[in-house]
Amino acid sequence: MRRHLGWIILVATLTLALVSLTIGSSRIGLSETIGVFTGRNTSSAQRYIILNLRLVRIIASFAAGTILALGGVSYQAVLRNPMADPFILGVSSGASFGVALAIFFGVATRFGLPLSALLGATGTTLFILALASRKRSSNTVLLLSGVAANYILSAAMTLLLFLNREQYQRILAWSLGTFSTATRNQVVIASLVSVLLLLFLIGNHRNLDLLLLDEGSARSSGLAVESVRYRLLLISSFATALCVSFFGVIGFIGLMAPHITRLILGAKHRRLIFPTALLGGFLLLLSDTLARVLLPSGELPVGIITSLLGVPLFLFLILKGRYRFG
Amino acid sequence: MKRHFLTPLFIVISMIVLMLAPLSAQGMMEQPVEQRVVSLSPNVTETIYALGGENLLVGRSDYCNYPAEAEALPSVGTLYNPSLEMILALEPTHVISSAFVPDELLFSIEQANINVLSISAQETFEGTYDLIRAVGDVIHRQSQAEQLIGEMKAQVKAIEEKAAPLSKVTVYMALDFGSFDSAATGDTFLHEMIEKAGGTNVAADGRYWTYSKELLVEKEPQLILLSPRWGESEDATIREFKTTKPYSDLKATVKGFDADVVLRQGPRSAQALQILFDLIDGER
Repeated sequence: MRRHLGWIILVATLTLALVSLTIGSSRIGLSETIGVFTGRNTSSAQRYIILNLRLVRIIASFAAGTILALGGVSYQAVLRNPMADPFILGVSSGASFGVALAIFFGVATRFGLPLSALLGATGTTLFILALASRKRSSNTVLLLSGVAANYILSAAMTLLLFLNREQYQRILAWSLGTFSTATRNQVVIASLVSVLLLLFLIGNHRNLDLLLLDEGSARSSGLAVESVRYRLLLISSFATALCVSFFGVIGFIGLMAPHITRLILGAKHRRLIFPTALLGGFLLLLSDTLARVLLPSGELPVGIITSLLGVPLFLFLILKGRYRFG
Repeated sequence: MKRHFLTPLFIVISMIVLMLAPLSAQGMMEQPVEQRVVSLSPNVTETIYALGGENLLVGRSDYCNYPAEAEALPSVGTLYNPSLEMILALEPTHVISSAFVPDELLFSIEQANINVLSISAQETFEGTYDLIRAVGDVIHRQSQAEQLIGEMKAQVKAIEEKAAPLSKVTVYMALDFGSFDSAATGDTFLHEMIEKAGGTNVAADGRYWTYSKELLVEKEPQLILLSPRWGESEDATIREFKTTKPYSDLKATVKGFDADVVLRQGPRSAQALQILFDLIDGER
């Protein structure tokens, strides 16, 4: 199992993708689904649903899952904290706040929600990183700044929601995450970003291992701790911010996926990174598929499913496994 | 023996007198007091004006904007969060709300010895008439209420008869779109109105006001009626709809409508039905 985890997850993902193509609120049979790809199915509505709605979502959720999982790996190593997820430095609260602000000021249609979210997310993270860089930085300063930012921005967003009750559902629905609005462009960009992030982290796998040691050992092994940390955080944050701005705030994948693979494969990043990315993609694809089919005619926000799915799974693994973090 | 039952009898009689006294005092208070009514809901406000009871109205909510005279009344706050202090400052005898106001607030108003009427809007078109009747009961305008209901029923019947022989147009009424799709699903009064106005509601198989993009694409409605976003014009919302995927790939005609008239269950509902009839007829 350990040596072939990556392949197992890959096969499971492809199977799930095929299943996910054939299920949805609109009933399209298996042969009709295959017919869309072979050209035998000429129903324009069915072709549109399969190719532009379902296939796009499947790829989008997989790409987003990989980005979030890789963000989790990166953050947990850099911050040397098993509780870290890629939202801890204000990406999620910044994005949601950006969206709430844009809707509140009525500029949401002009700027678009993704851009508002991206500005909010990157602005917040850059601010926190800049703030922490002034202090002879330790992880504590970073984490505390992140926590503070999350509190303030959440409070500010709640205030905007409160003042703007009519838009409550719109802001909330956005922030809970959905892939139903995924466009081809977003999918292409997200896939590109996930591949780049994967390569970047694999290239840095030794640095990630070293960062998990205490700072003294890391420095003495020749690591330029500051610059490596900031580079990893910046790039992971930007990738996560992009993902959040397209698809909303989807929790637990970034936290869970690295831990699950660590339980099975151990903490060495060389073996960890690729399977974690695949697992994140698989879990998010599964969550999005469930989000689409659980209600008879509506859709659940995918962020709810990941939390419901993830927490019991997570607890089960923690209790069962022999856990090694670093 | 005789003297032993006098004392208990005296006690029993005194207790009865003491218990009855507050009841009779209440009876004495039941003189007709001039009514002062605060309406916490736009459809209740419209109904009160339609029944000729506007002289009783002393306060409204921010969203009570019809008729125009209503805007001269002091407002006690938003639909979801009216101010208890402002309500009490107007010294109302009655507060009427129809939805959205939190129960805790209604309870506090009751605690201040004000009559509270909370009318739950039924998810049927008939529920509109019940609402008008209930408001009519409170402000003692029952005959006006019955007259208004009679007029509305006649108007509705006329529209139904006009629509019945015409060919049906498939309609999707979108109340929200984007991250979340909200539509006039089969369990709503809007569904009934679409069907009465000569349309076939494609979202009839949905429930609880939510729908999915897949089903919308599959159903391929001829006409999409789009509710303007809060604070935006019809045109701006239509433009946003037509430039958002996957709605931009739909072949349907997209039209906006006056949400204040159509989405409020109240005296203008017959007018709303006419508006829907005209929009649907325009597609034939």
